[in-house]
Amino acid sequence: MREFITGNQAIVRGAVRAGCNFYAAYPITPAGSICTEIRQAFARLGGVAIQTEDQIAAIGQCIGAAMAGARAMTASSGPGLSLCSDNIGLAQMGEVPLVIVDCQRMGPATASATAAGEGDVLFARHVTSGGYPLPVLAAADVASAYRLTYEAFNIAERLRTPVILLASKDISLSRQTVDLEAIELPPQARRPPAPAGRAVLPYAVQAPADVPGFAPLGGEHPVRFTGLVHDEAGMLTVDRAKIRRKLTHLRDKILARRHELELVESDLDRRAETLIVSYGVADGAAREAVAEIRARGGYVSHLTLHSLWPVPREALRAALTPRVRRVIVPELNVGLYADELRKVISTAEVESIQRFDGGLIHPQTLVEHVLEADREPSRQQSPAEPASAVTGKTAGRRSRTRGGRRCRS
Amino acid sequence: MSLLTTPIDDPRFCPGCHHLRILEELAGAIGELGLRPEEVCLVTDVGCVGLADRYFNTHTFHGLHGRSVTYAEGIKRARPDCTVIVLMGDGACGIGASHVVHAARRGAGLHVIVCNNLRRGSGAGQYRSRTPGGHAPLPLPDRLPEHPFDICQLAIANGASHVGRFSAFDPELRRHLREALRAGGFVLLECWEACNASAAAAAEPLTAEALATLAERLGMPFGLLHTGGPRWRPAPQAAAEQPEPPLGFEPVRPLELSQRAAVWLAGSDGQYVDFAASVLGGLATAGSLFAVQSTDRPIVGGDGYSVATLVLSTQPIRHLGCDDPDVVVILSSSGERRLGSLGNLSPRCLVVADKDLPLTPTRATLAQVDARSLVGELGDAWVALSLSAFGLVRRGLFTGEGLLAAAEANLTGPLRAPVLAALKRAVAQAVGPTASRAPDGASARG
Repeated sequence: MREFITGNQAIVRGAVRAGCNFYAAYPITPAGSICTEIRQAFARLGGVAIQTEDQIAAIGQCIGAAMAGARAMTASSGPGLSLCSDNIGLAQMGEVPLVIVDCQRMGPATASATAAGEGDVLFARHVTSGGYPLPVLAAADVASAYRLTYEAFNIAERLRTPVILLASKDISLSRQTVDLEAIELPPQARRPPAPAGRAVLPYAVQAPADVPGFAPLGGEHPVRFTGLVHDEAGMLTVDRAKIRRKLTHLRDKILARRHELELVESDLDRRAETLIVSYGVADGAAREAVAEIRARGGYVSHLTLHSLWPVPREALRAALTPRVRRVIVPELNVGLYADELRKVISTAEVESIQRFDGGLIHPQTLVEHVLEADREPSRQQSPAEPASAVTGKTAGRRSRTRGGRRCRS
Repeated sequence: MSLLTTPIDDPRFCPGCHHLRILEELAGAIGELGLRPEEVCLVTDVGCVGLADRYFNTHTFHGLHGRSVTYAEGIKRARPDCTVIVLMGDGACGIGASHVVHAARRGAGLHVIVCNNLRRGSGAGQYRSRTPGGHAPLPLPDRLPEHPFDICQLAIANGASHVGRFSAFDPELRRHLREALRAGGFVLLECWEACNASAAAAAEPLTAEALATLAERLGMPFGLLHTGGPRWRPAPQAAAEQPEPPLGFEPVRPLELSQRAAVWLAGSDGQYVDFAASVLGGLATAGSLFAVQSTDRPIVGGDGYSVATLVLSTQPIRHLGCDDPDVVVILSSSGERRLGSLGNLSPRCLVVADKDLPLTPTRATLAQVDARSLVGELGDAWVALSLSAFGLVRRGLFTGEGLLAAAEANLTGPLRAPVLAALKRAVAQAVGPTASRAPDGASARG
């Protein structure tokens, strides 16, 4: 049945569908309504939802509950994700299945709680010390917020890792007509269980990319959890061979599966010389732009990235046919992900379309940018229209202020 | 050590340190209560005493400095039958004080043992919030004594059920620990103890008498300080029947839309702008249409405007933005200011505005309404909805009959009646004569 719901409601529905039964958070706009929604869901279905004294306590309680067997989630916004930073590292080291939702807002600092902004895309990846890989997903609309919350739990459980799901103010607080029941989901993943037996080795793996079997704190057999670098028994170790084994494992269990972590929608046209790569709320504008360009007889390919980290190289490789010479990346920040794509794309020029004044990138801005390729350098700009996009063909080399259509939200 | 612990072949504590004695008494107390290792979870964090987990055969959790109470609370909520014991140093109490306050307030069902050696033993002997003035192992930078932080009184003041402060020299320490483990609610026991991490301290070990004298002088006496008070109540986990939502949408009757429609609603907080858009979007969705609603409200700063945009279509809508509206409803000056100039609106756009609002010049068609009397008639919550519906019908995007028939068929819940009343009022007004005027003030028909 079609419903008219917010992105935050969709996140709660996806979490509940994934078996989430523990939620702790400190209220922050635009994530706040997740707590009220999930409390209502848990009152019906069972589960613990608690509002904590701060985001540190929220993620701390989630980590404790997750290691005691719960399927746990916390949600915040950029300022709160900062406070979660240390504990995200703990969750990596301790191999905690945990979903962290970042409902992005304009940053830095308090900035604007209710203005559009998706500037946490690199921060989410590098949110904690050490530099070990962390899966990061990005919702593009209400329906994908539902599906990706579910997927985030599956990845967290399967790989025993924290997973960050990025949403943003315009997804969290906006309502869209969706039919969640019609969205196909993979089977619910469960963390691999520890082998039955008296002595539990909570971090034992055969190969570096294996995921250790899970036994819960408070369960039948005592288990150890630690944020210290540890051996397979969960005991602090100073043995370099054991340290290398543990940290290689933290890297490999994610990167060896980078192909299966790719969540990308590909809409390719083999005749296209232009590829739009979009994620987050700019994806809606990209889809409308692609439809209009094609309606006008143009050729364009489009990738919607629902997973940002690890960078979905396979999908990019498949889309970057020899014909493609331009890759256009619209985003609500200063061109952060475009810069990342420049590191992996050598066969085409990556062009960044940016907006960071609290408004959305308009589809028409993208249409004009794509179609303008053959009309360079002359291009009209209406003085009545406010600047809404800054584009740089390559970072720092060429950037211009572009006229955009007036766009209310 | 007792049966609970692994053999200590490599004790990690300095000679003369009291941690081992406290741990032995804790293990003894756990054993005397007949708790099995799998029934206990020991939660520690960074600091000397945080090394304790390796000596226990229970479940153990070693986390970040000062955050042990948060992990413990999560474990307790997920496993209410588990006895969750937290071992914190005095440093962790400083960095994690707010967690202690709130866990006490929530009656979190934890047994917190604070091992207070009055300094940072595992670091370089730095002073900290629990170091009593005049007893700092290193000179304070400004040589001003700081009053030590009283974790016991903090816990008592915030709802802890059992709080005591004892000396590690106390021969009855095991009994005190046993009583603390037996108590429910949020339990906190502070043990003052000696640290020999510096050469000076090791040369002149702290005696039981000196520790007691220090406690008295600081007004932080030893003894059981508080019993009773709030107890822990586990959060209800059982499923429960939920009341019907105040407004439900059932897809019974389709709603006809003449063309893709965009509406801007601009008012202030308290004028139910977001709610109005959500009802219309829900109604459209139940009527087999597609809708997108975005909101613009300043949570911090700003002047209290509340703007919603609503797009309706027979096709899925990808872009969340809303450009070139067909209907603009203006309920307040702050809402209008947020929209910016109305000068860009096209003549085919219908602006529905309160008659008392001074508007910026516009080429759009203007329909002025008496919003104040509408508030009196319908109530605050329904004016934005009614005027939006009025605009959509007046602009020819919905027919009045179609909108009312779909609302009658598709709405459920206690709020169905006031929604219907607001829509009926809108339709009656939209099809009846309403004064409209051009921006220059000349009257016109909308």
